[in-house]
Amino acid sequence: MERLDISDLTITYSNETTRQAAVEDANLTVERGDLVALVGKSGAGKSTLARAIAGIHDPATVQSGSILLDERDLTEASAEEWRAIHGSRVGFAFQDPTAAFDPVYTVGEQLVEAVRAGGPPVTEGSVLDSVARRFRRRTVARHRDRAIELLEEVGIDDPQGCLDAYPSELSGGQCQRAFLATALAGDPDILVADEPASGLDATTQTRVLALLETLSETRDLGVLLVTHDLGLASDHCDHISVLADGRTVESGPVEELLTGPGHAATRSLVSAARTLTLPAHQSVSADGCTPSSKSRPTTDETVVSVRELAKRYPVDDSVADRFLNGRSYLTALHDISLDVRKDETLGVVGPSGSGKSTVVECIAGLTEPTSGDVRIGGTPVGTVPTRDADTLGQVGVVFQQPKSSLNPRWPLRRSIAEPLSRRGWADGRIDERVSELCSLVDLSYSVAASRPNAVSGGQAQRAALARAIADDPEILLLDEPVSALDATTRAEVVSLLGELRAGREGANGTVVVSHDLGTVGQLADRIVVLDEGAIVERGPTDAVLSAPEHPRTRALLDAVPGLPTADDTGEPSAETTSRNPS
Amino acid sequence: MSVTTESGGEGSPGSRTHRVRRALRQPQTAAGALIVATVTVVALLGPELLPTDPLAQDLSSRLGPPSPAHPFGTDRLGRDVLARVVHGARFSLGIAVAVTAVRFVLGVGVGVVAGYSGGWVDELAMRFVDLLFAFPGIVLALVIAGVAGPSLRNVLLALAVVGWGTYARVVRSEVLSVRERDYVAAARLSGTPRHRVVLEHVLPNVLGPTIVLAALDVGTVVLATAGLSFLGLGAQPPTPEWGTMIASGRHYLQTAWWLVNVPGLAIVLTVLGFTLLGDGLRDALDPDGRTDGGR
Repeated sequence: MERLDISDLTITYSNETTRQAAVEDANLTVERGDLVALVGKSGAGKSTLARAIAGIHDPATVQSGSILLDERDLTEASAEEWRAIHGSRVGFAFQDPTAAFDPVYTVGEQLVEAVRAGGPPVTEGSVLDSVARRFRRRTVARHRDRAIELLEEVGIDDPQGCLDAYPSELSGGQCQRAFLATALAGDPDILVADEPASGLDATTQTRVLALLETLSETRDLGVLLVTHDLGLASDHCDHISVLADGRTVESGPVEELLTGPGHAATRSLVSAARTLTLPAHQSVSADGCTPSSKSRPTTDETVVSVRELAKRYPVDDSVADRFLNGRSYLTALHDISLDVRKDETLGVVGPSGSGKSTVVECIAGLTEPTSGDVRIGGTPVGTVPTRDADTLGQVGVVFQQPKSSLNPRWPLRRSIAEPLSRRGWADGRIDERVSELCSLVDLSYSVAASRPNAVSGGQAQRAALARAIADDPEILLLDEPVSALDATTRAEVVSLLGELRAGREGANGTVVVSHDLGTVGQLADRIVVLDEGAIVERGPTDAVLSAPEHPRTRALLDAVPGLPTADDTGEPSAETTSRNPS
Repeated sequence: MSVTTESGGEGSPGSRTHRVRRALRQPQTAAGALIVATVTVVALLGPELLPTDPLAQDLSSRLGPPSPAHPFGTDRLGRDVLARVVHGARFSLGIAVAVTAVRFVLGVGVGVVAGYSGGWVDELAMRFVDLLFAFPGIVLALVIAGVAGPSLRNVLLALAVVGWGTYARVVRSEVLSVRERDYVAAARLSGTPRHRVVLEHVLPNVLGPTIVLAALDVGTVVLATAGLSFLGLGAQPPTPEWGTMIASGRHYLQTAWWLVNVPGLAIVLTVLGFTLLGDGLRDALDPDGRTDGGR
């Protein structure tokens, strides 16, 4: 029986003054053919543990404990021995697949190198190495067949084309598949996948995880899936281990863990995952018996209307091409029309590249549409430089990346105050309003006085939200407001957004854009589904969620990680009751 | 450098100040900082503290070897070499700092305007920078200083004119990335006027690599100034400038080694100090090594 057995493992990071344990007394077992999930909030030590298994835990050091792979302790392996272990025994898949490949070689060259070495390619190396690699190009042909087999195994449609492509020419999902192929090249016994799907959109995410599931069965491969998303883990894995503050606090079969989570950390992960799944009442409203639980008195007054909005980007090809063939364009939006009414939240959903963000940028005035217009309160508005102060004050925007949307050199308070000071508020009044906003979004004074690099992603996003609603805008644009956050934080921010909406402290109209139908489903009254720059479906949230018409909508819906819902576990769900007072 | 410390604000972990402090704990960086501090103190206070007149001739003790009265010996006119080196620090360092400051302001200004405006302004500015880079800097400076006539002021102008291109390139590329950040978009959406977006959001966030560049540049300029003076284009005798001193001492290399070696050592030390300091600051302020290219 081949298995990976970790016992009492302690890993520390140290700097000149302190030594900090990232993983403490962790225990974990992965059998061949098993798909085990290692779940925990960000900072729980998941990646450190995963990297230690693959022997790439530098600069952390293993203090005590053992990692046994068939009775052999990996913590004692020398660099020489690791070279043999990598690939042939342990494979590793990285979170960011595009960064895991060397951009200057084709996927084929790197995959072939992995096939030759029986392991994934070493991306770092001396100059001599890369020169040597250049000359090795011609040997590619010999190992090509094996490489094509591997690519077929990981579900790449066009293995030939993929071999000749550079990593930048592949989509994130393809890239992750291709990298899995390199990790599998040496036929390892254990595959460690560190958040392999986190950077991908929901649809692709499910496909990659389904692939891992298949691989673990067909190859009799032990897979350790590291993820912060309990929903994903429960959909695909057999066993789950929960890591909190570096300790494995709980582990067991999926159902057992979800029905009776024993540890507080597990419970918070479970509830975070639950709130992100679809509203539980969707099946009820599908029967048509229950009216939408979210229907609130809305007026017909339109806050923002977008008419036949189109956006094309010129593709930068060479001057000669331009001269001979005319310029080519990438169409991001085809004649989109939509309205946001007063007191309404409109959800815009679509896979990556569907033009969602372009819609937001056009409404905010950050991008000039190629044709069509945007009206706020009935008046056509241009881009930012042509808008007057009042028009600018009518729009609040929250961006996807919380940290990069705040000036790194300013304390949060100053960023929150920026729109107010630009509108000429007196200092005293600004201070008052900022304090009010901070308590509204639940930011403590000391956090608000810190700079973005000293606060968490969730706190930064709260600050960005406070800034967006500072001057009580007519319309609030949320561009993937929670995608960059881990599951627990995501749930907190989503509920904050819900509270703000209920308390009328948000904006008059809200547009929430996301690739995640789960998030949008909880916030929006109506949903618009975008695909390749065109609206393919629109309707009230309940209708879209319960009876999706377009295949794209169904794909997005399937991609929402589902936990066994209350009905499956047999206990009544508080959610269902509260959402359906009727 | 004082600029960094002031703009870094409180020393919270990860802040610029914090990283600079950590860099200074590295032995090489600390050594660099120590040398730079020493040279600066000597340049500022040395001439006041050392009573010997660097121009006072004493023909009776010409070409005297190091002795208690003259620790670094005397030159062909019997002038005290120590006094001349100490006074020379003021010229060399003063010129170097002034040249770097002009390069910094000019380069950062052009880089920010080009990067933020884009379009033909960017194109024009950057093609001009390309033009500057097409000539070897020191040769161009030689030509300018030669045409304008030999004097320290012309050396200053010549070196300032040829050297700002690197700053412009580095700053422009930084601006191109920073201006696409969401916080700049957010500031624009807040109604912040363009010049304040640039001054408050863009400029402070692009200066890191430039400060590193400036620290390294001071050393380079010290060397270039000495080089031009050695060729007779810079400071003129009897001005106690290091390059001039080496030039006039080179005929006596076999009989009076101290005439060339003492100012030579001063140059080596100063350049070394700024280079060590700059390299250390690079790790702190520019971990991605953006100041590596373009030089």
